[in-house]
Amino acid sequence: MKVLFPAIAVIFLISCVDNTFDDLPPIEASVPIYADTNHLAPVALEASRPVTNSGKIYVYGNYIFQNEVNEGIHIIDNSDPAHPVKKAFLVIPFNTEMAIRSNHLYANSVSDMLVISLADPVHPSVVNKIKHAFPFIPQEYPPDGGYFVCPDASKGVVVGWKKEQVENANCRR
Amino acid sequence: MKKNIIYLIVIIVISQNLSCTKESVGKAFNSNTGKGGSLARFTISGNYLYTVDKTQLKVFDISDPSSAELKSATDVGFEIETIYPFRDKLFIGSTSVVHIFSIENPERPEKLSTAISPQVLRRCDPVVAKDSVAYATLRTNGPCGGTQSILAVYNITDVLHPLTVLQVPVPEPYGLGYADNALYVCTRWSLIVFDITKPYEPTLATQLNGAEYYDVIAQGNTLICWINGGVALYDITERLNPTLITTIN
Repeated sequence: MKVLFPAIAVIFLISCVDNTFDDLPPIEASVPIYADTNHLAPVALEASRPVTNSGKIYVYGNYIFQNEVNEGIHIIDNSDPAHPVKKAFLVIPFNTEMAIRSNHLYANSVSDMLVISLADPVHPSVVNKIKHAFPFIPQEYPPDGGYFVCPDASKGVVVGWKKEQVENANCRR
Repeated sequence: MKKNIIYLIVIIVISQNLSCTKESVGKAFNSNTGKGGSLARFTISGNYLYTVDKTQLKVFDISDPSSAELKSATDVGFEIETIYPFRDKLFIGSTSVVHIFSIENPERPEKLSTAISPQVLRRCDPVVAKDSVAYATLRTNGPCGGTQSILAVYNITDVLHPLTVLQVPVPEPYGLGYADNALYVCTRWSLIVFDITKPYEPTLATQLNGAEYYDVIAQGNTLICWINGGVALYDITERLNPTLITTIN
């Protein structure tokens, strides 16, 4: 009996949770975006591109760096502030943070930290990678709360959120 | 036994050579450091890179710039969002409080105090410090919940006992920064300029519209603003009267 009661309670609780969220009509909710961390684009310098999702800024000498959320870094030559020039785009998959010292850029990429040498500005090179330096942010829940599709860890790392009409928005914050 | 001793000597000689090489490479670089905004999670102080994730403050030794060796990880609290270096201190903003750490021992940050504004229940906290005053914006809409959005002014003369001296209502603020007697506060609706000639009594100087402003970095006579479409540059030769130079999209 001692065993049976908790067992029944657990079953009851589970069925409660199921009932609460089953058969909900589709609603607009946040859906996780997963990173396929097994197939990341290599860090590379590309031609400058327009800003679509502007991220954090950083200043190093006459250069302004601006993160393109989850994609990399815009490199802007600000030697003449009246005429700043976008020089290039540094592809760093799932990057949001950066700091620079002595021509070395420290940048997150998913949950790793990359050390990228800018000594040769035309050919930036990854000189070190610290695996699993930090958990990726944001991950557990969408920034604006509300109903959302519960992240499934087996699908990979959550690197962002998008709004969609869904029926399985079983989490709420 | 003799063999072992010879091996040992060889290893010592090699490792000494390696460390010499490391040092000379380190010295070959100029050791200038960049500057981030108030919403940054990475910051560099001296030979160390400090990072905050949701709960932890991590220290990486970058005296050899290419190595970035993890030295320590300290549990700070919950919902950590920002890190700001000031002298031998780190100001760490979370959605609930500002933590002040000493980095007198740069590899082992030590928590000194926590600044709390009791009127605000939950908020997002980018923070900057100047002399004996610290400013934080506390945004209470969105994920942080709470009751009001404010600019908080702390007296940090006694860094062990920070005092909240003023709270100015500001709608939906994000990052902030200062240049001399001007404090620039980013909001979703405008860039608000406060005169901080009297540091504990900021007064409204002007307000600029035209974008959603997220963060600022003051560099000489230029104010670099992170806006929704990219970057906006303002001339701040007159600190309290920024004029738009250009935007970069």
